[in-house]
Amino acid sequence: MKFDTTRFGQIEVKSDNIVIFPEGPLGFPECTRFTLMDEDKAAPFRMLQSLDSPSLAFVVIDPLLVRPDYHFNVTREDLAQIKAEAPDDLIIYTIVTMSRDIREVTVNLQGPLVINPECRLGHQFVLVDSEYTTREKLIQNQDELVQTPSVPEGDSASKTEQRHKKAV
Amino acid sequence: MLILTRKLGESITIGDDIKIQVLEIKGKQVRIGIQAPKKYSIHREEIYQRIQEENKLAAQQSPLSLKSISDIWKKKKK
Repeated sequence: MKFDTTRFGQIEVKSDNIVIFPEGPLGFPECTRFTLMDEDKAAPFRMLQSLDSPSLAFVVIDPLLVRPDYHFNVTREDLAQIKAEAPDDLIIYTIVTMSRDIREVTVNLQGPLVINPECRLGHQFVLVDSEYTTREKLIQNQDELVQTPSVPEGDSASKTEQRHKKAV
Repeated sequence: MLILTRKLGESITIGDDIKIQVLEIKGKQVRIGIQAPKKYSIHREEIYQRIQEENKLAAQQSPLSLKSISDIWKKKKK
């Protein structure tokens, strides 16, 4: 099937690669069909592209890469939403909220996206009484950062240029 | 909005299958019991809203291309 997207143009998606979120991610009840897109060198980030709204796409990442000890409790009702009987073999992503400053990039560990790959059903879980919030820093402490400018190269270059102009 | 006054232990029913009961009142806190079919997801509103807002923000902030964010992971020390 063909779908129009803002970021990737018209894409051909096999039905095997369509994940259905019957209730949509919270706040987007009308967007139920998604597909995961990858780009060169962007791993481990992936894009969860809506097939119902061309401009809607979420940056997602495996939460275990952000917090190796990430865990949460699930109820049978939660699992029933994605027709799963046990929490095994489920795929979990967390939505990334981007920022120009890498230190401000956050992940929503309180609202993980859980996908049952067998029936390709997804659901955004809401973790009550969880130790995680919706805005956990991707980079937990500054020491983890290699010392490089935090803004994209193009931008920092133009800023330097502006500063330079002012100085002149 | 329909507003009803209820005493401790009293309930409200909605339709045939939803029952909301006041279980405990302690100062400014009220414990509420809810009986509803499993098809309804019930959340504390503030958590639900926070996730909803975060989703909207994340959607707004998601870049046009992943290329611009591929650097991020490299900046994070392995």
